[in-house]
Amino acid sequence: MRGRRRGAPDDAPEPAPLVTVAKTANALRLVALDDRAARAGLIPGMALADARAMLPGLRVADDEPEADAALLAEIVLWCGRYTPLVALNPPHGLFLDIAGCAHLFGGEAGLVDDLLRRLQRAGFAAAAAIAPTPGAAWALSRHGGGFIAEGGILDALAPLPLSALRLNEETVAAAGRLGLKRIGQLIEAPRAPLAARLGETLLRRLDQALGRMPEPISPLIPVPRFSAERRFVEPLALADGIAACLETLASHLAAALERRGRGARRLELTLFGVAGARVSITVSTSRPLRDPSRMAELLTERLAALAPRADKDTGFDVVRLAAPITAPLDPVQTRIADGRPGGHDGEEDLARLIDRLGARFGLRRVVRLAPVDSHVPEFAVAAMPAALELSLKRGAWPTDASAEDHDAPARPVRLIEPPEPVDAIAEVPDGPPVRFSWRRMSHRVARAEGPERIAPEWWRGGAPLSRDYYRVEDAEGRRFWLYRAGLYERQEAGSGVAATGKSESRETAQPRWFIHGIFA
Amino acid sequence: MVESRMPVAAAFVEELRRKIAAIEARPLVVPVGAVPGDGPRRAGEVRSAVPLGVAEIDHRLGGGLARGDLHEVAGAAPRQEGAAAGFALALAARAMAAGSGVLLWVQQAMSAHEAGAPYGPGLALFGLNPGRLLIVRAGNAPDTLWAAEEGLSCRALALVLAELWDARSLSLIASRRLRLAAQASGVPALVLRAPGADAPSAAATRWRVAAHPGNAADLPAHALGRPRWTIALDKNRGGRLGAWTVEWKSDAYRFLLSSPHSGAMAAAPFDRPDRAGPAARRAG
Repeated sequence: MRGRRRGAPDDAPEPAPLVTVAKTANALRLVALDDRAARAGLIPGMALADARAMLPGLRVADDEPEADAALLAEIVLWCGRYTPLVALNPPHGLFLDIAGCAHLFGGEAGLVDDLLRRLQRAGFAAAAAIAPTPGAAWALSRHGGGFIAEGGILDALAPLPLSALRLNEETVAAAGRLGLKRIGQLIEAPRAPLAARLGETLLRRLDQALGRMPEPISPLIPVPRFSAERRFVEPLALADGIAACLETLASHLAAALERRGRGARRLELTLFGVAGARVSITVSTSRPLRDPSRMAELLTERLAALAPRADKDTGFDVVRLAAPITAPLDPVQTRIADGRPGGHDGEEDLARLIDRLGARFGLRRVVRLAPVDSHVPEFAVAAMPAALELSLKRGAWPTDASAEDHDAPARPVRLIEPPEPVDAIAEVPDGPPVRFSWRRMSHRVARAEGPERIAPEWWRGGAPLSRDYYRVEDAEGRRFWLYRAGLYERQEAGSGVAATGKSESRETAQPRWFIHGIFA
Repeated sequence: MVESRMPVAAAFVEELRRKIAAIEARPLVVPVGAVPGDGPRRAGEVRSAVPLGVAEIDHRLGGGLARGDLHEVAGAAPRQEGAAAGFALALAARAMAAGSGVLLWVQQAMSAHEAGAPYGPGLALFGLNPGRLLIVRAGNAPDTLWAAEEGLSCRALALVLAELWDARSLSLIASRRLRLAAQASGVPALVLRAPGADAPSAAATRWRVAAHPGNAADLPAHALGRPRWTIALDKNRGGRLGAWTVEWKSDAYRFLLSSPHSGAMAAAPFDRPDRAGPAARRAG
């Protein structure tokens, strides 16, 4: 199949021919043309000045290879409605492996018709051919299109010019000088001299086209081993309709997964719209999943958010459910009746909850806390996605074993991250604050415990200053965790231990106060 | 004539009460013969509850904080989020101490921005095992409520704590939904919200929490001591109100009654769907 953006919409009166140009060999040359330009006798590679001379009204656009490639990749995704095996063939071709798919569209001719009609409606000029090998299909699609049956490759390719074999221009020209113009002549010619004179590529391309040498296509999107799909004659307009068929798809998928003893770790629901829209929903699960109703449940949650879009479009006619990532899952007896889990009850129940919350908020926002071995308060804890069943211990939670029974906890239950600056007044420079105001509210400190000095972990590149933490209680009993950034005394006259030049350069002359937490 | 009708009427009223209790899915409270100062007597089996461990409070709650029901905790004044969260977390710690379940803490993002996010080391020192904590950060109030309701359908949870930033987010309908979900699973639901206008809600109890200034008499003047709060039971479906000052003894997961006298609240609840009997209201 090959495609080319068409220049203008059909309803325009008779728009001027359109070409795209790029600078090659110091001159603007034509790269691609539309039908009218081609009919007028322009050819790719012609200098723009020459083309302008022939057609003064020519419309010119810059060649944008990246945009073309991106568009082509989009078409690859769209072609997923026909087969999951779609490969790019730059600069403007695609290979579709339709083995076993054609019957869904009323045979191979029906598939090609459908494909070309939809592409045309979307504004593409495209040609397509079906053949037993990618090489033969490539050749035919560029020379009239059509259909080659199994065993008919030789006859079909023989009359075509050598350029149909995906060869570079030099090879074609060199072969032409030897009098070889058509593929048929190559087939009859002795192989060894051909290879010696024209290179191995020529014979490889020939063998690939004739099917003497296998040529696998590499699909752009990896094909999931587990997938199920449904096609509808009447497009589904509402998310409700899609939800209704989800369970059926899920049970097909589950059956396939069960045969292989696997469960889905990620589910991907792809909807192909009649008008060319393509919507994809991906849901990750916290543990291998094979229960159809749970799969449907997770996806329905996300589908609901899609409802407005489904209404706007004319509807979806292909629904595919795939499990791109799977993990081993031993066969288990599925629940008989109601939602009460049987054996390993709680964990299964919890995993289900995490999945449902994750489907709505994203698995990253459903977290557990894990201790990290660090003195810096904000590094002492890590929020791990609950779906990851990692039990890696990088530290231990603090215990107040050394503290007296009636002591206040040394750490707050709520951390304000990042710490917020507060205006604080201390009676003595390195003492606790007597008053501070945070967010335009003033607090008089009635009691304070501290300081607890926490030195920066310079190897982390984090906080550059030492901190003196105070637990303070204000006149109304509210408790806050404040710290002073920077050691005040280090800036005092250079006496004693603190006077080393290094530490002086690190600390600050004007310590600032921050609030870092709220105690219970 | 009159004498013969009375027992019929009484039986009829009794029957209606039973029906209403069944509709509201709560144990039948029999106010008749309730002694002032005595907890409400319940017909039928005792509900499963999380006792606070302070006999006086538990008595007033009919055994403790009912599982499978909704409870509200709010700060008594602005910037009392720490105290309110502390009391709610202490309740959660008690609920968790009783079993092996997980605490689901659904936090509205705004709350985290304004009043801080759950901090593991602090929670560990507070008596709440952070390893048994599942945290969800929800963008807005409806999402928070949705996640809480979702959590309440999971029996593996010890408690669901939903933290809402705006006091008005907990509408009557939203609270009813939470309550029904809690009833279905038996998981206690706690809504932690900012102080503000009390919209009517379906919660079984509402607590107003404020930090209690000053420390215990046996401590040095500058020492902070254990967390202390004044907890006011502002609403109590089928029971009397009250206010206490408690200390939280985190290593033992228990409350200690700090003030010997229990100042019973006189404030008349205006929004309670079911007013306590006259005997109970005259508490003092």
